[in-house]
Order: sequence, then structure tokens, then C-alpha cells
Amino acid sequence: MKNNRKNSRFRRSTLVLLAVAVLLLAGSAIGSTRAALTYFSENYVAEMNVQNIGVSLIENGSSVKNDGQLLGSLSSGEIEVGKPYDEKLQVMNTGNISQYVRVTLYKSWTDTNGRKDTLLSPSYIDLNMNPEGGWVEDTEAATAERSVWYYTSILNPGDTTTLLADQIRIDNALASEVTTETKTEGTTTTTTTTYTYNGYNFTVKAVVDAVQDHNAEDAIKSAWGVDAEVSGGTLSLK
Amino acid sequence: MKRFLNKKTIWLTAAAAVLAGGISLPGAMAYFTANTNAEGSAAIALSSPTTEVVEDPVVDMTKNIKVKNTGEVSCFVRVRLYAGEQIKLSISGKNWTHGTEGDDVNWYYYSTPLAPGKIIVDEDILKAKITFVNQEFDEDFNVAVVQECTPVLYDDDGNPYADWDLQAVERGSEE
Repeated sequence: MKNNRKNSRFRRSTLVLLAVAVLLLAGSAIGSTRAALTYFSENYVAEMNVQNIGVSLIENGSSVKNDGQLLGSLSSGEIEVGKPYDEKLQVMNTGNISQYVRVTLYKSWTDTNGRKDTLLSPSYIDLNMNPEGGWVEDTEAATAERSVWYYTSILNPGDTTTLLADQIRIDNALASEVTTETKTEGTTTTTTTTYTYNGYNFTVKAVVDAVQDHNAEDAIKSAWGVDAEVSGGTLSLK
Repeated sequence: MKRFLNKKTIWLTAAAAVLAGGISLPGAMAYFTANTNAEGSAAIALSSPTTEVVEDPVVDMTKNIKVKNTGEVSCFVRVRLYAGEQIKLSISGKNWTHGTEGDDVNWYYYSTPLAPGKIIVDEDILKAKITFVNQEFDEDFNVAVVQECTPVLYDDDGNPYADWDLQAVERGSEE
């Protein structure tokens, strides 16, 4: 009798445990299923608009790459003194935000070894500046070798400035500068006249800077160190 | 507790100072800027022009005068002829003009710049027809040709011109 009661209790507890195990197993299976279902979600498309500022120098209608070559059309041969040659310089906004731009031009003479000769006058290298208007020169920053020009209008993406320069020529006066050397050997005196600029190349360098148009006065001050005033989108130097 | 509060206050103050410092940093780092540059050189043609007279044999008592640019730069040329009193010269040629004032009346100017290596040819050849004042003149005679050249200069509009009074200025000297 006692054994029967024990067996009955054992079976009952076994059944209970079995039921619990089944429930737990079923529960775990359901949980996995639900987890698998919640794994999926709707697809969302986010459009990223990355701001990009870019600027390019345009020479005679063609873009000049960074660290590229200027005076490309003149470098193949010698140019005549006094004769004007096309040198149309502009700036293009190649980014996607509006900007203000400036161009710093350097003119100099270099010898056949590429060394700059500061004794020769850069003023003989005559760029016809600002033929269409729209640019203003920072005369306080100007030297015989350097000139700094600011485009007074906002340059919108894809737009090109008015011409900063349209022609380059070497001043006729250069041809009248000579060096005379006289040598006397015995009864013979020989005078040799040499053009001072003979054998020299003229060099032009352009550095183009662009800065965002938003909060322009502070941006220009910070980036270029220049006090500028922007009124109605027009830039002027203080 | 009091010590903790003091410490807490100090830490909060320090954090606030760091944040305030960060805010007051120049905004330059946030500005969009861009830069590009380019450089180039070119050589100039700078040498004295040189020319020479090229003459054909006299045909039908006419002297044919051609000028050749033997230099490396373009130039303008002019020609002057000398002859004895008994010789009369009738000078003509396309694109040649006769000086009108002072000493210029003795010169004939070729109106087109002569490029390096080029020679005046065809209708542009300067012709000097020789006749005699006295038809009975019967002696040997010479007709001398003098020719000069000067570099081509350009005005502000890019038009070439000649400056026959152009003088070299020695560097360092006063004009």
C-alpha cells in the first residue's frame, strides 16, 4: 500500500515535470519565432547632402588644374616684346556652395636656370587687369611683384567670374634697356651692347582662394586675415 | 560630505570652464575654404633685328631692291637711294610709302613688318627706274642703296608700328 502511494506520487511529479519541460520548450520556441519576426523592419532611405567647396582657375576658357601650368599657349615659343597676347583669367566655382574668391598674382623674371632675378622689374610684365569690372584690388597688399584682387560678388556654384585679366604683354620700354661693355685691345676698342633682359623668362603665378559666403565677413577675416565688409552680397575692403 | 561637495563643485567648475573654452575657440575650423594655384613662364624674343639687301641684276635700267630679315625678331625696314646729279630715279613698289617731312623725304618705308627669315618679293619689290637728266650722259655711275631696320613695337590696341627714333637706354643711366 505504501509502495503504491510512493509510485503514484512519483508518476505525478514526473508528469508535472514533463508538462513543465514541454511548456518551457514550447515557450522557448515561441520566443525564437517572435525574435525572428521582430528582426525585420521597414526600409528607410536617407538622402545625404554633403557640402563641398571647390574653385578652379580658368585661362583662356580652359580650366587649369591645381599646381598646373599657366601661360600654356605662350610657352612653346618666344613672344614678341610689346605685342599683346590673350591671357583671359577667370575663376569658376566648382563646388556646390556659394563663395567669395580672391586671386593673388605674382610676376617675376627668371634666368635660364629658373632662378628669380629680383633686380629686374616685374612692372614690364603688363597684365591688362579687370577689363570688365567686378574686381577690386587690395592696394595695401600690392608690391611690385604681387597684386591681390577680390571678386566683389558672390560666386554661385557653376558660375564664372568676369575677366580678371584679358591680355598680357611685355612693355616696349624693356627693349630699350641695354648694358654696354667696352673693351680695348691695343688700338681696337670694341663696344658690345646687350639687352638687359636677354635670356630671361617672365613668370606669372596665380593663387586662387575661395571661402564660403555664409557668415562671410568672419570667414574672410579668419581664412584670409582681411577686414572685409559684405553688404547686400557685395564685398568691399575696409 | 562637505568635502565631497567641494570636490564636486570644483569638478563641475572645471568642466564648465573646458566647455566654455571649447565654445569660444575660433570658428575658422568650421569655415569652408578652397585653394588652387598655377604658374607658368615664357621666353621673350629679344635681340637686335638684322637685315640685308638682296639685289637682282639691273634689267631695263631698273634696279630691283629686295630686303631680307636675317635676324630673329620681326622688324620694319626703310630704304634710301643715292645717285649722282645726272641720275634721275623713279622709285615705286607696292606697300612702300615715301617720307613726307624733313629727312624722311629721302626714305622709302615698307609698311608691313618683316618676319624673321622673310624677304620682300613680287610686287612688293622696290623698283628704281634709272634715267639721265642729260640724255648724252655717258659715264660710269653708281646707285647706292642704304637700308635700315628697327624692331616692331605695338601700341595699346596691339597694332604694330615703327619708332625710327628709338634709342637704347643704358641700364642705370638717366634718360
